[in-house]
Amino acid sequence: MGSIMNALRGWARVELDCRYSERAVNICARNHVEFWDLTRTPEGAAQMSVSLSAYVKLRQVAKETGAFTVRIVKRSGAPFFLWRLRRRYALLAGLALCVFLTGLSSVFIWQIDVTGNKTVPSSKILAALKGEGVDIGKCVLNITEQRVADRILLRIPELSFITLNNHGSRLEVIVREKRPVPELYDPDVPTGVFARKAGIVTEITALEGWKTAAPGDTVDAGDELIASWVPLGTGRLTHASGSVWARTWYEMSMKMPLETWRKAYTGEKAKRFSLLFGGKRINLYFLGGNPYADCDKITVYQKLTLPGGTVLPVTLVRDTFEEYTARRDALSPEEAERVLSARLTQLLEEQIGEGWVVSQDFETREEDGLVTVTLRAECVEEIGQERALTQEEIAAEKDGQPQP
Amino acid sequence: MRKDRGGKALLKVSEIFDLPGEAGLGVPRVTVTGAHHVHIENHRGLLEYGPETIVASCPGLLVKIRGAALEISAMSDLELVVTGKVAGVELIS
Repeated sequence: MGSIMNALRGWARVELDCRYSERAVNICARNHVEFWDLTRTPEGAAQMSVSLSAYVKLRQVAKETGAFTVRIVKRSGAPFFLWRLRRRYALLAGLALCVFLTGLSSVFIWQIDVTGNKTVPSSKILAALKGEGVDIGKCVLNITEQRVADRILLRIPELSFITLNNHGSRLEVIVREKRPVPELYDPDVPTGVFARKAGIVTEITALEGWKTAAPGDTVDAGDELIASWVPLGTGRLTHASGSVWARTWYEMSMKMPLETWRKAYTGEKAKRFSLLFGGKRINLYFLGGNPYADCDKITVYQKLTLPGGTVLPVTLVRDTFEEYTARRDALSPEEAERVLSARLTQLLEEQIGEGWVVSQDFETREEDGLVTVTLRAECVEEIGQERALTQEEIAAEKDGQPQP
Repeated sequence: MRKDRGGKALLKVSEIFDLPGEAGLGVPRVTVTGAHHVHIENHRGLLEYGPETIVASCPGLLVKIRGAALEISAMSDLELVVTGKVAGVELIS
């Protein structure tokens, strides 16, 4: 790192001519002339490396003290290189233009990073930003961060906080999402417990409300199992709650063809490179983009950045093509039955929720090159579901329906 | 003589209070790292330097470094860094 810095700021190898070179070195040290790599020449002179600013100081010290003379042995670094180019006007103009364009590009947004979002997709936030005039290629100077942040909060109500941090040509958007409001238990809202699925009730426990079904009853989906209206005394409406367990039955089928097409990769790969300037794409190849008849295409976008982290307005696009041939693959009926049975079992478990499978039976049929597996299962599960009553339902319950 | 007595008194005080001498009293500090790096603090200048011998003047003593391909990597009015193949460091009072 030190050598890179020296190359950038320029350095010189100097020789101090003095009868006693130790004295010259000590004078330099006392006058705060920074130097390194001090050696003695066979003639007895001191040679040292100094930076450009230290060289100026060294010349001044030599003039003031008169104790030694300074001679440059070698000079190196960017300032000397540029000095040699001082008469090559076109080159200097190109260099100045390059520096100007690099500086100019830093006032435009070339990258937007969204962090902190978990449920709200980044695409939604980026679309909202675009609606407020914040997008790739837009000038940073025209953006008022606080105003944009306030308007984004109005556009996306799921967000509780947003801040825009401008790092040159990179815009960092940090968001925080609102916590979902928990479902509150309100005892004053008339609520009933209804059947989520059809089945035969095996057990019913009412913590609040009036049971309208009993073990052994057959219920359909949507039937009220625990009523809100409690007909004791003058009667009252409650927030009914409890659990209702029932025997339920399922029948579901899945099909699978015994012959499928699969990809067999040949191992042949090809890469294509292109550059993206803003929205413009420049292909760095002459032949057609897709080299194979059947192939997968994997595209990787890579933002080009300088070592300091400054984002350049150029994106390198790398397309990788992997050739494959379509191969007909035969599946045995047993294998198909095994795969379908596993999928059906998983589907059943997802549908049951809180409960268990009492018994299950698989039936397999094969016709026209298709394997069909049917699952029939008997389960025991919780089917009660709380739901607030409508005004009509409340009126119906008060009128004596259902009866205790 | 008086200055020498004052210096000794300060040294005594720093010993009583466990104070590092190189911090306020200008006592030289010589740090040798491996066999290729010598760091001298609070020096008073070079008396001799060459690829085989470097002698630095310090308050109350001389530090003589012997070795091969010795080079002064950096130097300021307070610090001195010597690199090369160090064979020995000698303190001459």
